[in-house]
Amino acid sequence: MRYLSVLFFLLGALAAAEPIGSAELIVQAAKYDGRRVVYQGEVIGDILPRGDKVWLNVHDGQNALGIFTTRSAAAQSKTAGSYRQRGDIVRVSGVLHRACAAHGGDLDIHAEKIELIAAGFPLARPAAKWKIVLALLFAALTFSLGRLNSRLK
Amino acid sequence: MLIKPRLEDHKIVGFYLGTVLVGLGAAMGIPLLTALCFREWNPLLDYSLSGAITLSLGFALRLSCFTKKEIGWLHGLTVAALSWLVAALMAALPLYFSGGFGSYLDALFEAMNALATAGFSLVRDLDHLAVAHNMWRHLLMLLGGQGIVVIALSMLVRAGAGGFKLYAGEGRDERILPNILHTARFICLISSLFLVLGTAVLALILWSEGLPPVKALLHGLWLFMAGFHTGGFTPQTQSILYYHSWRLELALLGLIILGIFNFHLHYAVLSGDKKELRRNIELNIFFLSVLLGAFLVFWALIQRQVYPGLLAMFRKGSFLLISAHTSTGYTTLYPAQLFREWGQLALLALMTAMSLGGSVCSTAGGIKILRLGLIGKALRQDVQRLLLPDNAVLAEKYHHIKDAFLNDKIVRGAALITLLYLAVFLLGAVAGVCYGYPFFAALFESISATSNTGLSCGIINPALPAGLKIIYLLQIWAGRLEFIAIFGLLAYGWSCWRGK
Repeated sequence: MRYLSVLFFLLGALAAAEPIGSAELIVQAAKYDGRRVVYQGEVIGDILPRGDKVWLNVHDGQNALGIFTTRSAAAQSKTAGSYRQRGDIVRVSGVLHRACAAHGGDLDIHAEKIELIAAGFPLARPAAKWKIVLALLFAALTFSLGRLNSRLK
Repeated sequence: MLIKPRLEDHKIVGFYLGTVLVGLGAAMGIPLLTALCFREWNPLLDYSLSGAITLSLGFALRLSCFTKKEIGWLHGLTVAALSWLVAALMAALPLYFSGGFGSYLDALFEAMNALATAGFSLVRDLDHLAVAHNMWRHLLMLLGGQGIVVIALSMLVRAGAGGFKLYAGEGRDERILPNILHTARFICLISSLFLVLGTAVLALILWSEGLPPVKALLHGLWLFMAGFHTGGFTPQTQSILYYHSWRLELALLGLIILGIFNFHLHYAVLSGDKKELRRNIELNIFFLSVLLGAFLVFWALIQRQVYPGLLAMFRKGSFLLISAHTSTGYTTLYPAQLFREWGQLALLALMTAMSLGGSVCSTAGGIKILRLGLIGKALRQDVQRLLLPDNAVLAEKYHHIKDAFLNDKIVRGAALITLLYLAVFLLGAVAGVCYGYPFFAALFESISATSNTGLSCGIINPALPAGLKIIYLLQIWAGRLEFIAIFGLLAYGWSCWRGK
């Protein structure tokens, strides 16, 4: 019986640490309101400072959620996702607010802990050769037609 | 007898269509320069290739269809309707080449949404989109909001009596200045003035909220282009929620309200006629309608205890209501939240607000509040007529820039467009239901598409069936042109087929 209790406790702890997707958090916001949740995703855009706190926006592939946290907790993340780079993947532990009283009714997570799961990296975006060839061909055509067009009176 | 259009008629349509494409191709120079500045080489190629294809097609059409024949009403309507379709087809090219869309249809949907200032987006990964592509998406909103034909008119076309026919085809029928070319240029001038001021204000707010200076300037410019033209695109997936800033929300509210004012009203106020603000029928109805909508939304939110305090409720409620009423589509909520938390009364108020839209001759979509005012006045006149003797003469006046008497022709025109909008709202909803969506959600999406608002309850997403994407795309196109140009195009096609 004692082993069973320990097993349940461990399973419970594991389940609690399992990240919840943004779709679930938004659709079931009333259920999770005021509760401690774990959320995981890519830091995107910019880290927006507000006094001694900051806003992070973390995208889990479905939606991005606003994460309000301290500067020191946010310091775990160095790279935010953009055209040039994939942002850091972070795991956020904190309290979900369905309609945060401190932030004008926004759905947000006040994070206590942010763990870096995977560091961001630059995205390779090689230029396609077929685009170069076609662009040159059409540029020549445009130039010729443009010259003819300029003679229209 | 139906007269079959001759070769010369096709040439007129082709020539003006070519002119619009030349304008669009030239506009691709802006994202191309942006790509160059930010050293985004793939987008640079996307815009070089798309710009060259668009310019080639435009020049070829102008050369092969060159004519000096004056444009007629049917030509004007056909050119306007076709221009919007062909422009969207070409504007979608760089978006498709970017690889950020699941299919060419998705890129076309995005381009039409941008041009028609609707604001639904099917981009797969907006948060990793290149600066140049974001510049193009938002620039298209500016071009569409101004009217692509209006811009082509003011930049490329000779001044002529036929200009008004093109201008009217885009759903605008007011001459602010006696010459239509001057009217088109005045609209561009007003918008340029607001562009500089609006971008500066938004950029300063965004900078103070923590965005780096260059990014603050870019986001300020994009939010202005999409906000003032009541488009609703943003560079991040969370829409305005991304910025977590009440200052920005307040500034955007002011901007989008300015955007839905009739350009004629801007002209009157800038000319010193401040009384117009008090007397104008559109303004009066807009503020009355917003007050009524706000009452319903706040009532619903209080009843359902959606927000923890009055301030949060006021902030969320008023932002979304005005965003819907102005047909902008900016949001600070997730679509699922809107449908699950706000309740049917608030959604009904939002749907009514989206249906009504803004002013005629503005960048807003929807039925337009002037038409609602005219129908209301006609109704009042009919009721008064019942109460008065048969031989009594009744004259109903309304004030819109100048005093005018209501007559049957004006009321019939307003009622016809209103009926068409209502019919398309319903048809779109039925199409949504046929695809398996609940009626209320399908109606919300249909109204949002036809009124070019762009607020979504979650139906419109990249996984949407292709058939429904095409239906919404047609609704957005027809709603932007207020149907008349579509009928012109259909009449032109019909006379090509059945005419003698």
